[in-house]
Amino acid sequence: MATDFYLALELDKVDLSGKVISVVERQGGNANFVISALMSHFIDNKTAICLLSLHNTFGHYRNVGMKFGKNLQKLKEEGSFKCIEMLKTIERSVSDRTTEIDFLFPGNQKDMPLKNLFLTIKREAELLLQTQKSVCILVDDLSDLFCLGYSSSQVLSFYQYCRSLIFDLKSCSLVVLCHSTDEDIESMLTVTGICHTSYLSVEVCGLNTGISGDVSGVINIGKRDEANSRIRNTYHFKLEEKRIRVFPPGASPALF
Amino acid sequence: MLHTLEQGGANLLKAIIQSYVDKKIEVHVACFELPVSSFKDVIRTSPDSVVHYHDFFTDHLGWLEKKSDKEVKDSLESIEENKSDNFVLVIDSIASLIINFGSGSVYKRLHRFLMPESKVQHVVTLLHKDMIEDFEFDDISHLASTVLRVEPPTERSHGRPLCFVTHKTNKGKVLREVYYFNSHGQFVANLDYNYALYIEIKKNKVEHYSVDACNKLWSEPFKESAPSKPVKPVDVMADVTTFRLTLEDKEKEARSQLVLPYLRNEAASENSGGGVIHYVPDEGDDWDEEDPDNDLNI
Repeated sequence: MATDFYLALELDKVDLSGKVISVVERQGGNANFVISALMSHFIDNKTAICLLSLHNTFGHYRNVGMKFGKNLQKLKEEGSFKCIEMLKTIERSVSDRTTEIDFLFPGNQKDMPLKNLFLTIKREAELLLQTQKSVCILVDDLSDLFCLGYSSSQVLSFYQYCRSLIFDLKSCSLVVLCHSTDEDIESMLTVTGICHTSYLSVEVCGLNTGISGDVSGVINIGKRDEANSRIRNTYHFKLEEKRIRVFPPGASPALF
Repeated sequence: MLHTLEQGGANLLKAIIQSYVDKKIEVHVACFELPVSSFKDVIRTSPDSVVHYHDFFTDHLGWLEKKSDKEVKDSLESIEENKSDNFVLVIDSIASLIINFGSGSVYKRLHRFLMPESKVQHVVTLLHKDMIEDFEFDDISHLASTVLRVEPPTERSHGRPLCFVTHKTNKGKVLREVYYFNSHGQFVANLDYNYALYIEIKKNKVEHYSVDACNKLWSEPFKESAPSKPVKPVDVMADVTTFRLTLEDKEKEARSQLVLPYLRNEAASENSGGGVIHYVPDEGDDWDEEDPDNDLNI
């Protein structure tokens, strides 16, 4: 399914507890498949998932999970998957204003919804850890907070709280998806800040030369070595119906 | 200390902290970006060493109701009100401070630490160059007497990261040196590197420093690699066959002097009586002196 991708990330070689994986979506790229593949990896490794969904509803992940052979609805009922759906929370804040995470009408304290959102994640992660061995907090997509009017410093503060949570709870890891464009300084700053503190960064972008039927895009995988230097490996990938093919540039299976 | 996404400087910062700890200087570490444990786990202490850790990482905005935003600011002030006469303040990321409090506020705070009446002996900070504006970087570097800029390895640094040192002496002289550094395994900082760097800079001189026996952390002045000498090609077929497939210099010379029978030879044509065939290559002929099979890997 995504064996090539897992090998490229070298996820089998390291314990991800207390570590951050950043997934960056550059212009022309779509990193949804990275989130789906990581989700599948964590489920296979008996790690519970606390998903903060700012971009899609639970139904989207359930449908994608089916393609990977994972029944997220069942996992949710069993208590090893939790989805915090911000789209529904925002809808509630408009219709009946019964939510404590009120992004649209925050009142005087603009940080309050972010604080409540973090406290919700903390509560859910702690609940999951009572029954599960390890938990992964997955944020999809952090950059959507910009659309709600937050600045890069507020978004980075929220991210720092999520980081401090995984150090506090032990057996907890964090996956953050964010997107950026070269023109948007706020998003660039946020992405740089996140990449500085992440153990592994996966950058997905389109091909410089345009669109190809044989190659869906480019993945840059960045890791730090012992001397704190960042090692970057570049791969091409091809998305298929139920499979992700990852190969070195110029080695597309379509050529052979 | 400046670092970027491509080359982190956290290991070097920990090494500098260790150098102060080993010299029994009181150190206060303000953790804004990294958890306290990331320093505590690697810094070696002895009973008479004094290291204080200040956690601004866990709850810097007071969301967990451990500390309020104001308390965080007050805590920074309270570090300065320490009872000790001389101590070193280490800030793990000044970019976090700039993002949260603004560059102006951070500049004022740092400037206060550097005033003669301040008890702070040195301030050591890590600065993400790619997370701040150029003018913010200029402001902060203007305050610094020594700037260490770490850069990723280059082809000529033998795979080791580089550290560019710029030191401003009291008399206004600017010293520039380039070092490379490395760490092996878990960072058990042998701070001889930083001792050397520190002591020599105090003497307004940065000298060569050799590698220590443990190789835990070591450094030496960056030198341009000597141009590589041409290596004599190895005959890979020597062990495979008993035939000699190459020519020696003498044989090559003899081959070049050989006159092929179908080429025009004035002396020979005058003496011979019978008819001969001469081949004269025209302009479009592809005449090649070299062995046509030379490029084949036989």
